[in-house]
Amino acid sequence: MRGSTTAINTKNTAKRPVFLDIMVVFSIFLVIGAFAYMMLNPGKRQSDIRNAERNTEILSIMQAFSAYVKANGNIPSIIPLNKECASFGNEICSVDASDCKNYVDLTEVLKESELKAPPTDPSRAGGNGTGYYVSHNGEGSILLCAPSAERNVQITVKRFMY
Amino acid sequence: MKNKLPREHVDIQFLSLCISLLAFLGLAYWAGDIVWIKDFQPFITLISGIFALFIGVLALLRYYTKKTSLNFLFIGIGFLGVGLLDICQVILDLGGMSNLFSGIATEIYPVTSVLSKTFLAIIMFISWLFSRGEENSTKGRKKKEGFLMGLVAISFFVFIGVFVYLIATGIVVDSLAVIIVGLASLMFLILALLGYLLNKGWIYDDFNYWIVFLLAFLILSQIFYLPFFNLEYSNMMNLSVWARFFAYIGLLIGFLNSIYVMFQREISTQKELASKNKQLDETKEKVEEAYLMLREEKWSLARSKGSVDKILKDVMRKK
Repeated sequence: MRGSTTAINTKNTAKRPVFLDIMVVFSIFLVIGAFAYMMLNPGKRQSDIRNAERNTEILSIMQAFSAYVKANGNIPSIIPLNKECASFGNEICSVDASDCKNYVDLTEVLKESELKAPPTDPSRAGGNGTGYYVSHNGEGSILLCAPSAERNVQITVKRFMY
Repeated sequence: MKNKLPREHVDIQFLSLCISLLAFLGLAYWAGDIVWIKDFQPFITLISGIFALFIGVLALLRYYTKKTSLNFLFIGIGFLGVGLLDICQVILDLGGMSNLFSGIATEIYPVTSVLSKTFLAIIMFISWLFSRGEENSTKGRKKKEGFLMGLVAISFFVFIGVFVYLIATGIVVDSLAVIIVGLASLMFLILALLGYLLNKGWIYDDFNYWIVFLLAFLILSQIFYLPFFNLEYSNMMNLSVWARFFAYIGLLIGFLNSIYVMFQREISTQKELASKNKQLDETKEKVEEAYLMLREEKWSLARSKGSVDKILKDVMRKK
């Protein structure tokens, strides 16, 4: 009886450090892996690509506004007057939207531009909005912004139209 | 013969170090989406500088109480110097303490900050060299240490050479001096870490583990400072400052822990002394009792022989 008790005890005490040793070695490999991952950082690369896409899309929307103003001589009346770009009611309506109420519908604006449909933010999944916001400041400038831009990047374009 | 720490204790310490490093790298991964408090960098640098001064004073005190450990002298001098340099840097950058929360660092790579990092790295390496000299290391271990460190040093020299070549040919346009000095201090930190890991002082003493913790976070800080990761430059500078701050906190904990251990050892010594004194008193009482009993027996024997008065006098004198 005594012998069996001793055997169990020995097994228990031997097991615990081995488990901890394995954990330590495993976590060392994890740290090395994390270092390697941070050097490449594919997550940031993807975010940068999406941000670049947002920039391009916002510029193409702004070009459409410029073309409209050039043709009509006025800022489209559908653009809300608001100095704060990313506000409720300023979001551009998506081409697949079921209802454009409380959104900015650019159908009229896009008729006179090469852009056939308003682009949608790469992170925006579903919904009636595109993820891009537009407003005019009442002083002749149109503000376009992408508040969903990642990594604290501010993507905003302001252009004087006259 | 020094007492070894329990194996589980050592394992848990290293596991916690790895988890803290992973957590910090996780913070770095999410750093891009965090809105950092504006202009907190000078404040954290100032606090780190104050911590460094505090560590320096503690290390010098420790050296004063145990003059054989020269590595404490070096740690003390190193941290005092770094603390002073860091505080001077912050004050110079801000143009006074009143701008602490509103000022912006003017230089990207301030000279004093580069120098303070290098100074600390060299001092940590020297402190390891001295701690190594105090031990009786085997020939085999010394050979292993020499081989590993030579390998690290050679690879760093090659790396620095490649950088110098790239800058000379105009492929990389950056501050040459900062890269070379930064890589050199990174090399010294890695060598010191290897040295402290290989001398296995952490098996016997918790303080050695906290030095390993300090070196690991200083290396991380230096990697962010150079910068080697694919992150935004401003985030890397923020994380470098934070890593340094955590490194100092780690060493401070190490010092507090060693003070606590010393205090506990003192208490246990006092207790042991008290119990030994008690045992001594008990033994003394028993011996006296035995002596008296012997005298009593002798007395009863002598009474029959008629020399009671002499024995009684003897007993009274003893009492």
